[in-house]
Amino acid sequence: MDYSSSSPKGSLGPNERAALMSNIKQQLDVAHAQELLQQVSEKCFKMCIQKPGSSLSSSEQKCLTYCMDRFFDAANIVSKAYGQRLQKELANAR
Amino acid sequence: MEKLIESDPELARFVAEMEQSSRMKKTAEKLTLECWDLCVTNPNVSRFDGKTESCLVNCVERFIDSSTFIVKAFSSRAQQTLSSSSDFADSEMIYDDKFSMSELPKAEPEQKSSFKFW
Repeated sequence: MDYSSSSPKGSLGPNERAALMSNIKQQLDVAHAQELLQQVSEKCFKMCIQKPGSSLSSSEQKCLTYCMDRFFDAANIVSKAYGQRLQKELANAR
Repeated sequence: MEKLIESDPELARFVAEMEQSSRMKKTAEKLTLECWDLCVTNPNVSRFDGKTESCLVNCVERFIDSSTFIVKAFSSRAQQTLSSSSDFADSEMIYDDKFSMSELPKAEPEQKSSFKFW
């Protein structure tokens, strides 16, 4: 359907709309990833760097690597559980 | 932008969906942080043990139970007080917020990347 001809002046054509939507989505994804990264840094710094030395030791680097992977694991476990719970609530509400 | 959304139902629907999915992601993020603190004692491992995993799941479940419980307790308290004053008129809003869960579109949990939860 051609929106541009039927809609009032100043509104979007289908291509413009699609571009705007994917732009918005992309920006949200980037913001979300940045948020996540910041949270990982915070948590893993706290857990892996107990006594900050003159440089990042190899054991600290190893801990950070593991910690990052585990944080993503935790995030996935949590959102899966949250999603399933929402689905359940949703089914009960109907 | 406001005007654009007003005059474009498809865009409006899209924006509403995005807002909802952002809200859910925010909640999942917040839960991750809380439950991480409660459940993960040692992240320096190549795999979580079963205990940690079930702790994370339980943490989510109990968090939702708790907030549902609080909402119910609060609203029944508000009901009691309502007859005497209208101070608790706001409780209606909280109740609505909570149960707007029932209006969620079917969220399909997707797991293709670590960065996308929904």
